[in-house]
Amino acid sequence: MMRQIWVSLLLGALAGGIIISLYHAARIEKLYWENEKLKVELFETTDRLLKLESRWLSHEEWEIMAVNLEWSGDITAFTELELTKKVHEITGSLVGQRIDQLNPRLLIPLLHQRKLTVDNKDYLITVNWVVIAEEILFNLTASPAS
Amino acid sequence: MDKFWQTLILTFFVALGVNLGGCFLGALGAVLARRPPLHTMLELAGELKIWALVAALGGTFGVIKVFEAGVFDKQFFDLIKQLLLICGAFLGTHLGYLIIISLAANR
Repeated sequence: MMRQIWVSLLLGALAGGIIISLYHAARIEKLYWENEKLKVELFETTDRLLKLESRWLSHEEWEIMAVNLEWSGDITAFTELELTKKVHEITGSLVGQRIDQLNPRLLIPLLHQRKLTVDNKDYLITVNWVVIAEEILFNLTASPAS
Repeated sequence: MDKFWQTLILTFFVALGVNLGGCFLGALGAVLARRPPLHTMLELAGELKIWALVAALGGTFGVIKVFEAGVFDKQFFDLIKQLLLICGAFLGTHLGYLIIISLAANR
């Protein structure tokens, strides 16, 4: 008798389980495939994020962020400011370029022996040295051009 | 009712039950195992077809023996009976397969 009860209980549980699983099968199926789709999307998004992060890091390491100038020579603060402005106009295109793609041989002639005019006076720019880094540093001498 | 017809009906329903029961319980197992139940049912319906046939006929050796006797001892009537039993089992398992297919396809 006891065994019959247990068997009936087991059969009932199985029958109930089958009915419930069949009743909710479509919904479970839909959720399963949505879950799979989300897993794929998560994988793709994570992959994209990693690529973006690596690109961003390389952007920080390899792109020129700024051009800094150091002046020497017999010039006033106003002339230095105006010359700085003009030099920044010339070197502005360097910002955003990749350091490894930059040709140093072309970088120096960009300013070396260039004549710049401030207040109708000509100044000859001499490049003493350059540091090529994320922030390029030009050491320049400005002298009145004769 | 003739014993042959009783066996034929029994074989038909056993084959049908093996396929249907296997698929339904398989779907329950799929739910518990976090797999898609309808997809699993469809897979099982195809896979269980041949097993339902074998289970309904009660193994393969008996059938082969009857075939052997039918061909070599010229007991063609037994051979035809056995072929009818196989057809009955096949119809049962195929009906189960069609039921599962239509049940899963409608959802």
